[in-house]
Amino acid sequence: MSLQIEISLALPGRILDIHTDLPKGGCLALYGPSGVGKTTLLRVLAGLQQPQRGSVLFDGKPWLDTDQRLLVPPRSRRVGFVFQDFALFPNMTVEGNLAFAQPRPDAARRAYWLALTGMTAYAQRSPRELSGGQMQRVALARALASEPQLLLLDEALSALDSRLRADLQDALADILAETHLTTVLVSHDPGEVFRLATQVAHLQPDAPTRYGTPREVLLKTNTLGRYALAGQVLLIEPAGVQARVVIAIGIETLTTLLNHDEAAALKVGQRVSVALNGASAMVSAA
Amino acid sequence: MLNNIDPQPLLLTLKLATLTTLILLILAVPLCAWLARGRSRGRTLAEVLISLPLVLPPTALGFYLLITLSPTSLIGGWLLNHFSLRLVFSFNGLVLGSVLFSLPFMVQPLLAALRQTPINLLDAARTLGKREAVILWRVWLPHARHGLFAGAILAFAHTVGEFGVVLMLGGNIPDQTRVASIALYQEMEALNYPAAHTYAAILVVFSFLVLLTLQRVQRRAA
Amino acid sequence: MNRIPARLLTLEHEHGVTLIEAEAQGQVFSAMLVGDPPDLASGAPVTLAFKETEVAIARNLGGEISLRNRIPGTVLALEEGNLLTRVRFAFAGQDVHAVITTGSACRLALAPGVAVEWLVKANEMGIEC
Repeated sequence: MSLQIEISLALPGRILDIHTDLPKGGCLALYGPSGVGKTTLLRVLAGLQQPQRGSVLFDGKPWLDTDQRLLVPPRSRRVGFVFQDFALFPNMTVEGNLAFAQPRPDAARRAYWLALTGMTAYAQRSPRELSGGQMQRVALARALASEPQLLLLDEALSALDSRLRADLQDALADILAETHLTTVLVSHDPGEVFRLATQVAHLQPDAPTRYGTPREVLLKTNTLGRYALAGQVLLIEPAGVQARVVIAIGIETLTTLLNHDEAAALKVGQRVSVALNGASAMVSAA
Repeated sequence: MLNNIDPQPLLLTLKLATLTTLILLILAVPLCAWLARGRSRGRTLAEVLISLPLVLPPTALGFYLLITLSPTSLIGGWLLNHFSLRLVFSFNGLVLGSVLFSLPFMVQPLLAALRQTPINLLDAARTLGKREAVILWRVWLPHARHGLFAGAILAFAHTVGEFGVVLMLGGNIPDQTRVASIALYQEMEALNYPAAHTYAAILVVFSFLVLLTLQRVQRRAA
Repeated sequence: MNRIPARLLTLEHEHGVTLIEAEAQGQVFSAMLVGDPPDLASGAPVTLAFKETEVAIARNLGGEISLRNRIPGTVLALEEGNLLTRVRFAFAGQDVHAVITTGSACRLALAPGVAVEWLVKANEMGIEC
């Protein structure tokens, strides 16, 4: 059940190229900033969208070949797609969503998938009554219930808070290990990629796609021992011979001292890059 | 109050509106599913044609239907000879006219509701191996059901209220084409104001109730 | 931030740690980085970068000290605050600043013209290229 991808995607103002092979049971992460074309690539793999040029081979069988005008429709590909917004059917219960997905009705298998995702207690609930994390689990259970040959996860965990995300990463890692499903994962979260992926395609808006293991791709991006964090200036105020500058980084804030010339060059609201010395980072359990 | 009028036109109106609405439901679902699935020149043209009755005087539509369907015309003659189907000055003709005339009232709310459905919902069903017909029935229509209700209510009410098409195409034949709006007109012409009042009042109350129901449907959808 | 143009001398790497030596105006500086070594050859131009708050000042320093970056200089100017004091030196025709506590500045009796040594731990010495 290997996956061979060779796709050229025309995006506004640029071409995104990706060519990679994923062995059976592997997990490929499409990693990169938002807007780089990751979701579009995933939709191409599902057959929901067509690239300008390219081919997709699954288990040796062509799913897409633009040169030969060949396109296998999504319903014949047997992919389990977990959408970023989960796309649960609101007119069906949780179990109804799974039943709809099954190739043939099988209550025992439904119970198995619900148990695996920890959603047994919610089988008769409406999707509207679920939290984000629960919806994510149901979306995953539904994708698995369709007995897919290939699992596609689109930023599946990005909508969740960090603690829930860590829990679900664990659950997802266990499920992938248990099912041996070949998986393609879209993410901009290095933690998720490191935990789940066996190989990474690092997509960048202004550079060619880089390939490798999570270790090769993710650790290579930090050179010179300084770790650049994207932040935004919140506050600049004089503090004696220095200036105090507060910067928002994700959901945290960081206060530092700069000299007056450096502080004067910054504006409140400005996007900045904060370099931290990796060796100086103090780490303790949260 | 009700015993000063003939109830037959009211019953006929109800029969016509019910039949028209049922036919429109069957017709509009596949039509709207096709229209909502994308944009193309054919779809634009179809949408314009469907919407024509919104701006056209009903008498204009009635006039052309009369010309097209009269037994002396090509189509009307063919229908009469091969199917013994006479569509002018008959109840069947009224149904056809009403369906055409109320089509936009059915189509527009349904089409809007179908277009509002998140594309991911339909795509999810596609990746789950479902055919388009199954997706329409199990996912798309249930998600757009408020549009279907609103369209059915509007089409029903609009058929009850139509006058011009009926007058041109159906005339005023008791039990056949004399619907409430025609009966009202006839009573007024005959200066029988109490009977005209009764028909008019019933139509006003009915329309009020219909619009009230529509409000409720739309509030629940929101 | 202090920035000094320099030239790469050596680059050693082991277990994800890189030790860099670079030379500026005859003075050798050391910098320690965690992560893969940068793709640089000996002789390449680099910029040494270190924050004012990471610079220590010593007067009449005797004995051995582990700090590898130890540069003689003369105090040019002082800017005194209640808690912190900014000290300015010249190095290779440019200004270098240190921010130390005002208490320490008093203890060292720093004043323009006083000869000192300024020191930066290799771990706090950054490299830009």
